[in-house]
Amino acid sequence: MVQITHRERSEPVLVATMSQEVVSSSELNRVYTSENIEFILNIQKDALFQRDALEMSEALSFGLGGLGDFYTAANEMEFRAYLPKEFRFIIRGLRQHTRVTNVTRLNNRMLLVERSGMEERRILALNEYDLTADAVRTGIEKFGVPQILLTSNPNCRPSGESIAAASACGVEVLRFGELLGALNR
Amino acid sequence: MKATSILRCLLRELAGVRSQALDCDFYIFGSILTKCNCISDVDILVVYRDLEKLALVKKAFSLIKAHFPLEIVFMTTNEEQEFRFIETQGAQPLEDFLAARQEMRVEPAAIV
Repeated sequence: MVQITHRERSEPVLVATMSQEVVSSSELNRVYTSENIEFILNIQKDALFQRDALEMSEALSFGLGGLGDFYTAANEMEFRAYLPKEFRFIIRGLRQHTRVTNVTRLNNRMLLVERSGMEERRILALNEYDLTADAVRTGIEKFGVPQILLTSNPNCRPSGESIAAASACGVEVLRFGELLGALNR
Repeated sequence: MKATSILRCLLRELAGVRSQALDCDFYIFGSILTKCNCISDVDILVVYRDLEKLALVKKAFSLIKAHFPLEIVFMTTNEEQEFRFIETQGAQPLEDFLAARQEMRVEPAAIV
């Protein structure tokens, strides 16, 4: 556990640390030893945060993420309710969609979107600038098979092979605007 | 261990992976080529031709990634040409990078 002094805060921030490739609620329970903990920092890069871990962080009100997330949280002075900017934008946009009744985070990259009178959709958000076939295959292997792969980086350039790799798994590659349109169908 | 020693170890490990993966081309890009003082990770581009052999390269990298901060991008030859990644990023072949470090005896940037 680390106590951080923030320039703009009188009380220090209590941060628990761990290093796991897959972060589950049971792993979090091992380091969440006090209600005063505001953020749990997972050192391992590109980790998978499972649904139960995300639910636990929301229920117990502590932030969760990697080093980059921690730096952002510190810049924004928001540790307990921290959510990556990328997902803040996606989730807000989806919740405002007239067809969407509920949005659930299945892991740190996969969302389950429930729609009124229509089938639910699993959406995998990948933030690559150059989306490669390998990024698609690795993303699906790690986070699960979605129906839609959302290129959440607004400047994303998907390669022809990445679209083919997604298509071979029955996955459509869409930008955010295209996704909003697709949710009506 | 000093940061410079860490980078030397990393370069040795990379040379080891490189010698096992003759079907792939390895490039270094990003802050390690431009920053003098400190970098947060080492960016590597692997251009592969054979998907079957990619798993072996990834496995070798996963062992190194446990100890070193690596950002690795895997692209097929076609994807690299489509993105013109090497040209736009100014990526350097790993061999050239290693040779330059040895010849010039330049102290590598520190990893933070």
